[in-house]
Amino acid sequence: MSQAERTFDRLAARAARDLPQQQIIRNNIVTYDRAFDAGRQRFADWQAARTRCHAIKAEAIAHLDEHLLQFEEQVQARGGHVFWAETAGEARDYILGVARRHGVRLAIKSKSMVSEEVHLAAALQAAGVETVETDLGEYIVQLRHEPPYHIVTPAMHLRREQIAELFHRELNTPPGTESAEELAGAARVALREKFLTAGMGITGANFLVADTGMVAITENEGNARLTFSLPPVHVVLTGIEKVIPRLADLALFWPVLSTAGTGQAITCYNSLIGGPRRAGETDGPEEFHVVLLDNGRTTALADAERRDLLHCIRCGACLNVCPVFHTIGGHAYGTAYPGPIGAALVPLLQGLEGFGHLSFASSLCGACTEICPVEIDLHHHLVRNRRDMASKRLRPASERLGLGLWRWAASDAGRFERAGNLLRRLLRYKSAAVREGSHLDPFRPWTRWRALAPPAESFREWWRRERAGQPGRAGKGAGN
Amino acid sequence: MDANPGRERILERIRAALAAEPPPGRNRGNIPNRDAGLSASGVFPPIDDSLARFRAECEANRTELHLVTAEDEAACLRELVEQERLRAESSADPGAAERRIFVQDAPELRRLMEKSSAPVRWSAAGPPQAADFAGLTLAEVLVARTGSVLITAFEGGRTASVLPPVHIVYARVAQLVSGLGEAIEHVQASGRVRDVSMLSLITGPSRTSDIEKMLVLGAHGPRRLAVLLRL
Repeated sequence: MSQAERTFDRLAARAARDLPQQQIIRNNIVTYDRAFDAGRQRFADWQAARTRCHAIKAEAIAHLDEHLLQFEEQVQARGGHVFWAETAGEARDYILGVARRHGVRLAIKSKSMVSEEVHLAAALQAAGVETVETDLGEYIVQLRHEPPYHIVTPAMHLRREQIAELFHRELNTPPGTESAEELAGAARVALREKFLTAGMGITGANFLVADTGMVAITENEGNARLTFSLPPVHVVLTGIEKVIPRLADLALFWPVLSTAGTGQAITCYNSLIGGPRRAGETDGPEEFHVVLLDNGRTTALADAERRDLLHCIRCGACLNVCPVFHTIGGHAYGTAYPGPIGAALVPLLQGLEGFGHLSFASSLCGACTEICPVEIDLHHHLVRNRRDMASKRLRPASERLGLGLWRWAASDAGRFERAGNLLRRLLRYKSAAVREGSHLDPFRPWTRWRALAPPAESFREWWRRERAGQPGRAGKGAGN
Repeated sequence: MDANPGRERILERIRAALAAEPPPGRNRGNIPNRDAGLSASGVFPPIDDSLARFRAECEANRTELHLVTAEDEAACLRELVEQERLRAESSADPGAAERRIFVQDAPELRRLMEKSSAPVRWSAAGPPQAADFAGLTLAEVLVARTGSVLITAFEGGRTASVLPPVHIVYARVAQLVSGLGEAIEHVQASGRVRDVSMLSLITGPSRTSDIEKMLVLGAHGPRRLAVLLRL
């Protein structure tokens, strides 16, 4: 059992008992569901939009090498630099190098899940570069020294009073500053100062447009626009899979991303950045860098069966519909990408050995696959990851033994009935011998929180008895 | 700085990975090549009346829309600017004297601002300052389907529409297109995509819902977006 898995088990168990926390998430999701349903109505054919998005992403990924080279060439033609990073470490080192060359002491960041993946902010801080998140939700969780809870809504798990308390402590807001307006206003004032003095702006990318060499960034607050406009250096950190073939594709992806992400018809700011400030332009950075990160993505690409995991546009919809996410929340996963997409993708990016357990954090209900706007076959990928873990013997021997016994018992009708009888008897003995849910109870993981009451008779026995009471049909169908 | 040994290795891995047999129905050859610009066609219902739709969408996304004519446009703008100037001056912060309206240096806007008494910072003289109380720009194109305004760095730079607390856009009704596809086509055909370092599709004032999903306008960008649409 990996360290990550032990941590996951502990945090997931804790969150599953935290009912007030689950209520906050539920309130949030109710708002999202309503907005998403209304947003979908704006499409003549939402399903057609999904199918088309899937096709465009498939096209983009099927020619990934060509699209990336085209993107690189166009960025360079616009006066920007492109760096290809094989690992998280290479990406961090490159960005640190840029910061050092410019003597940067303060860097501002807009939201980027890839920066969470490579732990960029921590690396910059350790090197003496103050790094400040500027998205309100990210800023809040940064002040709390915790990772984002959700891809789109990083502070989803917090109540207003908690944020008020945090701001009072960290920003010196007067006590009683509690309305969302006042709190957002306090963050605006605190961060405005940072925007105006930062030496470097770091953003992620929602899409890399191959045919025009532009980086597309979607946001609501305007913090990304300030981040890529005010500081003298702009660095984009993103994954190689974000490329799309044509600028025209955004006419579809922009509304689809915002609908799936928040239910908005379109997000407030959808920006395109192509290189540093041009001669004659009023403002903008003098230097522009794009860091293209692999960090396991080519391994996922080589897995033809699961290649569509690279289609993900990080809208967070699969988190919002996932009953497991609703219960264990975003922090238990312990990865930059929580929820179904994380559970399916992270084991491929970082290895089944350390992270395969995440693929078991699912009821396989398929809600994620049904909602995914780019039609990623999410829940089947979870099953495929499980299959690979079993075939690589990465599951505990007890599970193998148990499932082996099950297969043996279930493959013969008589054996199945006898095994069932035996199991029911054993459960009754167990209930009499040990206290339900105690440490002696072999079913403790289940019985600790739930009742496990063995039925008095098997289904077959019940069926025979029920049918026996009905004249003319006694015995019919029994044993089928 | 340009030493990048990872580049070739990543490209090699991509090529090797793509050589692996993809699942049925999703292989390289099967992916249809669609015509550029048609990505969104058929996905959205058609729009009958672009102006009516633009108006309705502006209302939904909290953009303030003023339909103006040759006769009243200057007065309407003056009133907006005066409102914001008074508001800025009444705020307790010092430095109110430095406060100006940042205006994209364009003949149309020079003409409109002629009779205004507000102190102006023209974009030709440099970028907006943190104390500027509003930004006034033109737009490339307006999008009816989403009630959006498409601007580029050509419209007064990158920050004219996001740094000041108010953004005022002056546009003509002929600039209205129905959907995003048309808007993108327009800026590609006009050469803007090629010639500028930034474009931004703006839909309503800046906002956040990060605190308990409650909508707050004026997150980091403008709290007010006003469009003067010349009929």
